Amino acid sequence: MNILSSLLILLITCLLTACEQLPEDKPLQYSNTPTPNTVAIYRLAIHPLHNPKKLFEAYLPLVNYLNSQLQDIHIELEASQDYQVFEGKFRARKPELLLPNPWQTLQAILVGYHVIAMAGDAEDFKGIFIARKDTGIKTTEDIKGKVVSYPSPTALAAAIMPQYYLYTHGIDINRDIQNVYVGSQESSIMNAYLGKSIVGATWPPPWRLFQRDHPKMAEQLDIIWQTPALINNSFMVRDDVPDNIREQIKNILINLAQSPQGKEILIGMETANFYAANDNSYNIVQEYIKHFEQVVRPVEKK
Amino acid sequence: MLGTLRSQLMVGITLTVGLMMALFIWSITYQQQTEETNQHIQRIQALADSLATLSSISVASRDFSGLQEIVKSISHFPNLNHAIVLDLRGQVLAHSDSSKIGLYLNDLPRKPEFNRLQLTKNKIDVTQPIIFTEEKIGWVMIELDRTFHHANLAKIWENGLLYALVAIIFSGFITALASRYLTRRLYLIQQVADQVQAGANLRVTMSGNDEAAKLARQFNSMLDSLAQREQQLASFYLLDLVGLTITSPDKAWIRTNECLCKMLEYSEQELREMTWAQLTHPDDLCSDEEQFTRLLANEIEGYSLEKRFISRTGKVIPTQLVVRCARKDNGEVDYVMSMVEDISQRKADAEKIKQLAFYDPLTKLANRRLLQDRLHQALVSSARNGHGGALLFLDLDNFKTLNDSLGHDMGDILLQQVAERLNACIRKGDTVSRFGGDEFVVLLENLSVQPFKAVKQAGDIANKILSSLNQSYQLASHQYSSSTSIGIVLFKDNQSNEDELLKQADIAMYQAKNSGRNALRFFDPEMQASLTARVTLEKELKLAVKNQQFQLYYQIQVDSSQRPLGAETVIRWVHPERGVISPFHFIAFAEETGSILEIGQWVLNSACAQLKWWQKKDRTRELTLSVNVSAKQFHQVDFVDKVRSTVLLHGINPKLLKLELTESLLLNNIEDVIEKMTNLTEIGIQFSLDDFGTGYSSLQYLKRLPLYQLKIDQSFVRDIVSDENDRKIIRTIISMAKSMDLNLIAEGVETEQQQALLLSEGCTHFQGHLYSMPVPINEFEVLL
Repeated sequence: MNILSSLLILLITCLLTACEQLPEDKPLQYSNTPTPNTVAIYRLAIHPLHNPKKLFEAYLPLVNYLNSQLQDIHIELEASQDYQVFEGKFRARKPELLLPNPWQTLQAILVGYHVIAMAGDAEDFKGIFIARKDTGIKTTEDIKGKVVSYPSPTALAAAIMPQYYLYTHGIDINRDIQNVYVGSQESSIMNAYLGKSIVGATWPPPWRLFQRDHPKMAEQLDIIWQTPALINNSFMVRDDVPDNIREQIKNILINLAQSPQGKEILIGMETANFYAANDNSYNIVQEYIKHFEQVVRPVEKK
Repeated sequence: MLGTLRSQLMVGITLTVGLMMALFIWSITYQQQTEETNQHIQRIQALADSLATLSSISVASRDFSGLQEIVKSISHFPNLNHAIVLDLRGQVLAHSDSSKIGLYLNDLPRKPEFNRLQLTKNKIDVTQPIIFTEEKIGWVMIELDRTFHHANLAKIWENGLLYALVAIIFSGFITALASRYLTRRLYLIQQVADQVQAGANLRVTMSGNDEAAKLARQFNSMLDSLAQREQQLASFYLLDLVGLTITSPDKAWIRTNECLCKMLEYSEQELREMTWAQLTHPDDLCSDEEQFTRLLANEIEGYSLEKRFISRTGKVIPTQLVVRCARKDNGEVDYVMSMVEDISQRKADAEKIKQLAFYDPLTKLANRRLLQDRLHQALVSSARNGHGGALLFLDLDNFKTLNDSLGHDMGDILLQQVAERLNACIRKGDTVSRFGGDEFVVLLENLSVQPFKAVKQAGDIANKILSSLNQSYQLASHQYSSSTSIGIVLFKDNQSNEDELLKQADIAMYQAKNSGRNALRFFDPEMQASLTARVTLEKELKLAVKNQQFQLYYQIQVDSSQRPLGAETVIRWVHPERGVISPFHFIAFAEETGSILEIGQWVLNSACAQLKWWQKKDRTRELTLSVNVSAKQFHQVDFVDKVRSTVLLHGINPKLLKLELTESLLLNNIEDVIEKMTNLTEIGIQFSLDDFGTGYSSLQYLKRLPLYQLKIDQSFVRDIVSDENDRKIIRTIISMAKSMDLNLIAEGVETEQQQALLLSEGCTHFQGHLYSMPVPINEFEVLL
């Protein structure tokens, strides 16, 4: 009987342990407001000088550095698929912080953003023409009837300034060549590499980055022309950002090259330094754009 | 329910199958559940990974329309409850339910770098960070519905139960058939066992070589063995050497063998209606029941004792009983086994042995051993209760004469009649014993505690014995009268030991005998002193012999002219403490103890040495020397040789040595005496008969003795002046000596008158104080 009792007990134990013991279901609790007591989030939108991945790799150290220095706010990096999207964002005044190209700087000023610094040497803000070494292009005449790729029609250094250079060197860009806007700097270079375009227009930082990331491909490419320098990209804050925050950000940026960590961040961004600047510093661009639109084409389609 | 092997087998196997099936179902269900859960987890994590990857660029670019497209693209995933993309603040950027876009979810992981997987009863949730270039930029939340999973498990569970039920029913059915088949042969054995138990003499008939067949063979073998043992036991039980019985705890006979029935003179059936207590001797019942109670109380496993049964005819049967018991599991006595041995013969033999060991076969009285034992007990008892006791030592007067005259048969009859009379005289509890020969000892116990009353009680009984034993006896055809001497010693408080008391009684008896016989005497302490003195004397005499503490004195012997003829040597014991001791005080004792042999030899040796010395001088060359010889000394086998060798050793003239013999010496073995005297006479030694006239010398013997001299005893000489009879005796002796041509000397002459009268009668040699006392040699030689 003892053996039988033991068998029965074992049987019951087995059946009972077969039942799964799990917690009850708990539905999601939605709210109309975020969790209180969180620091203010500031979004830093950077013009798509790289694809989003590369842009994050290049600029995330800067954002992290800023966050480590700033107590009251938290900055989030925000990429954009293309220039139109980027421009749409600041025109809608969504990002608090902007890093636009000089032309976009002028646009942003119009909607309430203000320049607090210039990103990089002014000498480095120039357009360059990348072409495969095997194309045999010697003069601008050689590109007539060919495709030229640009990141965007509003890209000052990589589109406006190259097109003005071609204008000044006897090329009617509207008739002599086919202009293709491929969305990003890297795309413009890749178009040239792949032969989709005879020349790809870009500016020095993306090209240096490409050389670093794709040295074998870069070996087959070469800079065939470059435009005169103008002025570099700006760092802007929205006009509703408190002054103290703006000043803190400005100081951090201008003094970035003073520390080894800051120097590394600048190298990663292919940016020499941040220099003090304001809205007026970009009047030259206003003039340049005005002349460009008069002699070449309008920057934006009306 | 489980009383049979079949039912046990059925229940056991069915339960085992049920258990195995349950284990199987449990295992399958558990495995399925685990597997499905793991699959869901993998799928939901893969989905979350995909969503996080796909949405990373759109989140980084805040491309909300693109995000919503991505979320919508996975919303068709089976059992998906929702898919959500959130920014770091928990704001919904995209949702499978687009109405939720823009709302906040605040329940996000605190450590955003980790995945969070939540498994609830009906859902599985995963929350995963969106990492873009190693930076977390938002969250993905996916939830899958698991209710379908439970439905699957329930279906598996139901199917499993159904299969298990079918398996159990089927196994029960198969087991029932199999158990019936497997146990059919066991049932056959059981049937035979039941019939054997009911008394049938059966065996199992079963062929084959399986376990049941082997069991059947072993069962048959066991039955055979049991039958054989039963038979052996029965034959053992039938043995008529010893009684065997099995009784119940309430003392009833259950079984008895023939031997016991015969012993008790009851049939077994009759005994079954009785208890053993009814047939036990009342005096033995208490001890038996006491042991039996201890046996029932589990204090002992058995016992043995001697007890007496009373048979049907009232015969008392001494038995040796050995009892053992068989107990039940709870320790209670089941039944009792007893062995009853009739020890009547053994008892009789023991009694006989006891009689032989402790009783005199002639008189049936206690013997000396039993007396000593009883005396010891009496002393102990006296010490304990303070009562006095007495030992009566009896010796029949002149018993030796009876034996010599009427023969030993008559002596034995007398002893038997004396024993009967003694038994008639004593009280119950007293002991009469034959101590040896014609000696009896009566032990009286429980006399008064007061000594003078005890003396009177002992005296009364002793007088009663004296009176009884003085009555004449009829010994066959002879009428015989006898008397008895009784010595009595009283004892109390264990103050003396047994041997001492017996000795004291013996002494008292001798005192009675010395007093004239047919008398009783109480032991006198003075006698004890005398006894002690004798013991001391014996020790000192042995020492004296060893150290030669003796000295020879010489009493001169003269002729009618008072010329010295020689001397009689008289021994003196020069005691280192008590001075010179006369032979009167120790010679008789020396004769008793045997020391006289050594003393006699010393005297002879000393006398011969003195003679040798005298032989060297003219004045003493002719002097003779008389030496007294005791009877014990003379009767030595080598007496002649010793004397001869002593004479030769000293080289003396044997004719000068005169050995004085007493008349009593001549009483025993006269032929031997004559031969020894003749042998010594042949070498020249002369013999003088001392104390002549005081004994009962046969003139016939006297005539044959080679005597040289008769010595008239001083008792006749002492009164020769005043007593005519003495004078006549002396005259007769002198006449007889002359007629036998013997030399004569009178001893104990103390006055001139005595000397004159002796001389007038014809005696010419004299010895006595008139001439000299016995003196040492130096004084003696002055007399010459």
